[in-house]
Amino acid sequence: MTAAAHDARGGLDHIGHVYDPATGLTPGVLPHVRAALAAGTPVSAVVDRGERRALHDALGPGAGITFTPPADLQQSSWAFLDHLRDVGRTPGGGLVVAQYSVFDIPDGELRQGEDDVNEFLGDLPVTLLCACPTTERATRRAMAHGVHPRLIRDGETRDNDGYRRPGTSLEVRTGVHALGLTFRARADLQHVRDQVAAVARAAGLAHRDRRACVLAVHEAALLVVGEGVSAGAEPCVLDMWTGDGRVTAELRGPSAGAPTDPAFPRDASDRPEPLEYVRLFCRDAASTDDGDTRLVKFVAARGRVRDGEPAG
Amino acid sequence: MSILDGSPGTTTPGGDRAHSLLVSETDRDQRVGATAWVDEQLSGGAKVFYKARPEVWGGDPHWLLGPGGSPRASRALTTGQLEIMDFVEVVQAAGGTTQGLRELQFDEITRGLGEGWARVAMSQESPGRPLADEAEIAEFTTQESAYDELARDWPLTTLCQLTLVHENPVATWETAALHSGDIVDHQWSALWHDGRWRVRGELDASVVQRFGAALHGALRRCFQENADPTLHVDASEIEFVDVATAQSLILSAHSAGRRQRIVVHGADEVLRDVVAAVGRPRSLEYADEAGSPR
Repeated sequence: MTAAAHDARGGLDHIGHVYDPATGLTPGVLPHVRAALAAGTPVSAVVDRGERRALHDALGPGAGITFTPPADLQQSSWAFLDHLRDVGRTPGGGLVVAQYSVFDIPDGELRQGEDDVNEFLGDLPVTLLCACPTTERATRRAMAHGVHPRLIRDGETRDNDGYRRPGTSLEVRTGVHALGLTFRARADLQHVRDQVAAVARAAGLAHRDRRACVLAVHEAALLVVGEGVSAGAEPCVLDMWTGDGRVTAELRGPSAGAPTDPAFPRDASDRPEPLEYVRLFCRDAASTDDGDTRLVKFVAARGRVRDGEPAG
Repeated sequence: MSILDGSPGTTTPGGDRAHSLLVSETDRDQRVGATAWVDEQLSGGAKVFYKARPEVWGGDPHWLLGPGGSPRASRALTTGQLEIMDFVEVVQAAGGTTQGLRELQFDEITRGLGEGWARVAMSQESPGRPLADEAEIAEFTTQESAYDELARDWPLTTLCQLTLVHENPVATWETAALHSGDIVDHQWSALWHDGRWRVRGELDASVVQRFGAALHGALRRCFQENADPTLHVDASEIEFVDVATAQSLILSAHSAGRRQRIVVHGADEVLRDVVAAVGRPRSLEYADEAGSPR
């Protein structure tokens, strides 16, 4: 396994690590921890008791690692960011290891926090290593794959092709309008998939990308159609565009529930959000819900599909 | 619509597809599927015993004979190749007991063969049973098992029908689980073939509960009947799997994990992507991985 101390560029190094709970997170993060300690920079670990013991056993007594209680960082939505800033004040930066499973917060809040880290702390000279066990629910695992510019895979820390930069405006109505159809129930989705596959094929997507595009539309369609649209209500709508090397889609359906604040048109993040399932199979996705209409849009991958993380 | 061949891997006088389940959303769908099956059995020279639900269609149990029914049915009724009873008559004839039902079925088989027909085919429409407690579920299981037992000794083919509009979630689940060996359900189907549970078609959130039930039934069957309880799944003809289906597969693998493995044969890269995204447990393996049987 390889790792380097905090990157000399001086900005945030935000790394994701999806690990098998049978082996624990320690083997994957240990090179980073050792590098940081060798460089004389502080290391803060926000982990459960088992991982605390494993790190202690691996590093030996007096290693200098600080174990920060998770509860201390959940007192406010900014507590974790403040902790990162504290670690980053040390000359040369520092390392924070954060285990997803110790944070008792909704997925939406966790994602907001990850996006805030990327958006607001990009210049902070800190390495933040977020560890997610493979047994976490799918939306969190998908999040781990999508919010980290770098990932630990097979013992190597590499750039993450599946990273989605937060705050980027997602424009999908570009190119040629390739498909427009309505649907009302889950039973309609087989037909929807057939039509999407035809669009993807005509757009020249390779086989695996076509399948991913179909999956993304399918998962997005499940979001907007829910249990089905009641008789007399407006049907759900799917539109797709192709061109300039992209395949994009926009789906509209009835609102999923309470409207989000229009000043912050992000995901409805106060509950587990399966938009992450859409993100598994596309380049980028976003959704809004204004209380009347739910909108999901995404950009399909072209020539590139995200790899899933094997449980091992 | 055709009923495909498949068996649990044992040689039975009933032949392939000895005991199948047809899942339909509505009565209209059910009639289309049932008509095709009845036609197939009649044209194949089987004596057909058909059990209908009279109350569903305004008291007319013989829709099979009408414009939307089987073209062969009217003549078959005249020649005696087709017999139709409604459930009220069945209960009366069977004395309202499971044993009585078994005796009725046996009588029908022997009578059909005694009349010179080479095979016997039975079908019953969706019963709408509440399956409200374990005792009722156990009784239902016993009745269903009788078809398999009879098919081992006699040239019997059975089509059970599950029409979702008439069934509650418990009955749907239990019925799908009991018929894991041969189920045809809208855009997907499954049956036993060469020792593997072969799944075909498209699996998504609209059918995931029934798929999960059938998968549970397949696991249970392997655990109860085989020295090696590993469930081998032939996934080579699966055309689509969504996250909900992958979650169902993984949930089953997790819950069976301590006693059983699931080995998936012929899984394409996209299926593996979806399963990996959800999180593959150790008890779920691919046949081409080192250490796994091919």
